[in-house]
Amino acid sequence: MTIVPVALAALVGGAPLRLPGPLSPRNASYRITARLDERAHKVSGQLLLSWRNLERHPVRELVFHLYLNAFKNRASTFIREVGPQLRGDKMPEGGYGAIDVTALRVGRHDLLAQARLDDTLLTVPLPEPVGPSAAVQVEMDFVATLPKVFARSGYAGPFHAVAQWFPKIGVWDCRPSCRWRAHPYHGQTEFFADYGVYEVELDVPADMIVGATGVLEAERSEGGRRHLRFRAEDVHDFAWMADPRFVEVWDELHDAWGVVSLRLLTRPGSLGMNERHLQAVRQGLLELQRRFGPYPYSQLTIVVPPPDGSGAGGMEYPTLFATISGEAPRWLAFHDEVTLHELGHQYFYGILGTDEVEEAWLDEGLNQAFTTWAVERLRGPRCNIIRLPGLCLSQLDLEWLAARQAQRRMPIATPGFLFPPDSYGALTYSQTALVLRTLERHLGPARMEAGLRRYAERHRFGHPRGDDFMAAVNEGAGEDLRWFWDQALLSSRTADYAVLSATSTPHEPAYGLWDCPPRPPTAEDPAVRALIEESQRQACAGKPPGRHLMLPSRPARPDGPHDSQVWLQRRGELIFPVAVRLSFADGSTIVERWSLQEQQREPERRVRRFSYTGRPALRSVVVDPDQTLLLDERRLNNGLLLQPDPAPARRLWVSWLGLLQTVVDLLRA
Amino acid sequence: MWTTAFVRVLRRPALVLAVWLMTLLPALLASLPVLLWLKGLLDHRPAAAELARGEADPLLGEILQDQPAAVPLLLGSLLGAALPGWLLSAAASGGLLDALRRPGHPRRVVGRAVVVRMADTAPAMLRLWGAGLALRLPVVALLGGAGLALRKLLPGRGLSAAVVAVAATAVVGALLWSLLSVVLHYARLHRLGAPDRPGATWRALRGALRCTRQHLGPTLGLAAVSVLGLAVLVGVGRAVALHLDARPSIALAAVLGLGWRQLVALGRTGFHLALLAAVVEVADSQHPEQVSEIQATSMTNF
Repeated sequence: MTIVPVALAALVGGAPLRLPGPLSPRNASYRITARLDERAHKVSGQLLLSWRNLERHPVRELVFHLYLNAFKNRASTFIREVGPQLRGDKMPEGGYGAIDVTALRVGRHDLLAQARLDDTLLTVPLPEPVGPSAAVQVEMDFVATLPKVFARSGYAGPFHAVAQWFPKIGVWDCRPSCRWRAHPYHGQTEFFADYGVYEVELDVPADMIVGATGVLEAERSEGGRRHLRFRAEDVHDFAWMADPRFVEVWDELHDAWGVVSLRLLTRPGSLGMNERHLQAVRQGLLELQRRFGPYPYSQLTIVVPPPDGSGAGGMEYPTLFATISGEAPRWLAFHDEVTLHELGHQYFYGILGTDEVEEAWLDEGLNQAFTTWAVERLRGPRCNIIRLPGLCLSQLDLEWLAARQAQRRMPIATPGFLFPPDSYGALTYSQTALVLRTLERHLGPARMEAGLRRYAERHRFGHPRGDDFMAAVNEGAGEDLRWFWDQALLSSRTADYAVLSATSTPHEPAYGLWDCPPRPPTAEDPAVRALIEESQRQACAGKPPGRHLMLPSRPARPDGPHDSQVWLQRRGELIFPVAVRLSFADGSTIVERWSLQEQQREPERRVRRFSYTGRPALRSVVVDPDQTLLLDERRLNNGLLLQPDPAPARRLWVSWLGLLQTVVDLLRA
Repeated sequence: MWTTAFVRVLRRPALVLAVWLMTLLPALLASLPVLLWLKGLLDHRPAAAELARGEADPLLGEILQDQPAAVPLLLGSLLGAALPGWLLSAAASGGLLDALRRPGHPRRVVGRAVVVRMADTAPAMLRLWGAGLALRLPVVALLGGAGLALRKLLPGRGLSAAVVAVAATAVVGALLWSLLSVVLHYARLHRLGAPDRPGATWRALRGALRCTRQHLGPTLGLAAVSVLGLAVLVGVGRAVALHLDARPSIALAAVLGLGWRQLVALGRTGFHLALLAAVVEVADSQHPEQVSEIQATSMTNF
């Protein structure tokens, strides 16, 4: 790791890709020149968009996102949906922002007057349709007025997070019918765009240190200003962040495909976390590449925003992401987790260009599952987020707690803006992560990885949808998992398996009158039939044909054979094959299965009985003992002890009593 | 002073035991509903063993999320132990201070007389506790304000700044709290030596403030040692308790944990009594004329 003086602020030159390109269709490419007025916090720019129609149907109008208009006033879709707040950050008073298009030309046609602006969408009727595979060039002049940092973009003092700052074209999509996939900027959801090449020239004050998508191609200084030219290939967005106070740290990751330059832009107050952020990025990238294929870009920029610009933190852009500021002790790994999560978006959103508005679970959810894997790689499987004496929580634990609290009010595969505000995060992020980690435990890591790899390889630099994901995983894992996807992603079913009851009584020998040889029992319940057959076998063993009287010779022994019966209950709607572990007094165990087929055959029959005769006394029953079904919302009811064990309650009570005494002693001190 | 105080306490083991029991009993009573609740919840659950060993902390989250009674029950238990325990301790302080007087002091009491003295002085001591509460409230408000200010100032200023700021607030808060306790002990001593008259509580407080001004150094020393001693006792107690709690045998962990915690509680009680004895030393030894006056009065009366 090298700390580079500010004078050598960036490496100039170098190709944006480290793999041979082009890697994507590159049908939405931009050439932008922009000037930052750091006092007025405005960015004035001109862009030239080259857009190509990839579909088989012509386009008669173009639709552009003007995202910054979400902060223009309190009537925007964004503010109306979630209020002037996001993820705990409040929109600063008077911190409004907007974007104005001041010129719009397509070829020789000036279309500014014909363009229709609605909230954050600008629709531009074309003078003539753009046919299949045809291209069109759009020129625009625009002025982006940055808000005070809120919801990803804006300024805080000299810090500028310039994101969603230029008119960005939507995605023309004809699957199944043609439409512009361009939604207003919703409070809860993010973005979706086509891939292209970005050539961006920025004019900023001379003291500004700039982190941006892509690589710096050229740099010159003139009249107290710096002119920086960035280039990015096969990306679908361009963002940049500038601050004269940035401290720049460079690192490298060497792997089988070459080198990735890592550029960390941080600031005093967070410097103690440099190595942790970089370590998280290095390990995270290795894990991403192992699972989902190579990282194709030659550089990755990590920005630590200032504390008063925290609204810009925890956000991803192609080859650039913002983590969170501040420092944390080793026992607390929230910073590491955020860095890993935003890094993961380089794939789940970046390389796999999913629609973050309509199918947010495909990027946030898959990425959250990756985050749990990466945190485990970085800090081990247990206590990997909080490791304190007396408190141990892993990322997976936190996902479980968040998901169970939110309750499954809607299917995960729901457009993000339709979720109630308090459910979106828990369902889209946490619940999806639990779905994938459950499937991993069900299939085994190798098949799960094969499934996800198939998805990542097949849809690299495409716009995959939920169906594509499910189909690819089915193929890679070698199993039709529709039964699982339908329940876990496409329904709002909850999972809760419980041990309803368990009894174990000393085995009563076959007393009474018995006709031997016995007739086969006719009981309908196979478990009961088995019990009768066992009694008949005992009663008639070695007896001649005829009626025999069997009398008790001695009382049943408590340590002798027992008859045991266990009832399991499926309290949730979600059907999943579960194992049941029964432990007996002699230390032996039996593992039974309540199979998927059996449950699917009679889905309304929510209970299952297991009976045993002649075995030692039953001690305990645990359903899903290996916690395969991470979606199970209640774990305490997964097991039952036949004899109460007062020790755990006493142990916890002892702690509580000690705490009470300490409080009294401290009060009187 | 501290040696004398500790020796005096060590020579009164019955007193230490009695005061420990006085703290234990309210805590025990207040914690019983929690024990019953935990038993109902966990006695038949295999996962409870992992929970008790600290291997399944998310289950605590499940319990808190699913059991609406949990938080009120725990808060009720906390208040049910803290308030009576604190009040009992305040009511008994008159008897305790007199029990820890120097040998030969006319107000010194031993044996059952301590209980009688506690009962006799309880109303006056409780009035002083109430007055002391009024003195403590500004401290709590001050600390709350400091906490709120820190919330605004700290974000992003780095871990070291945060740790220093939080630790400084905690130490200052603890010192202020402890200082007020010492001042209240002075007030109690003043009140014990004064006749029952209207306004005696406020006169005792004024006397205590005078006493504090006159003996600022020893008073601050007492407060500092009180904070430091308790911090060490609580810290060591917690560290060892955590080690014991993690034993594989939960039943053994419960027994060892209970034994250790009560040993630590005894230690805290002994330390508290030593602090009282040290307060008595400061107040008595530096006012020989007052002592002789009291002696003279008591010799005249009895």
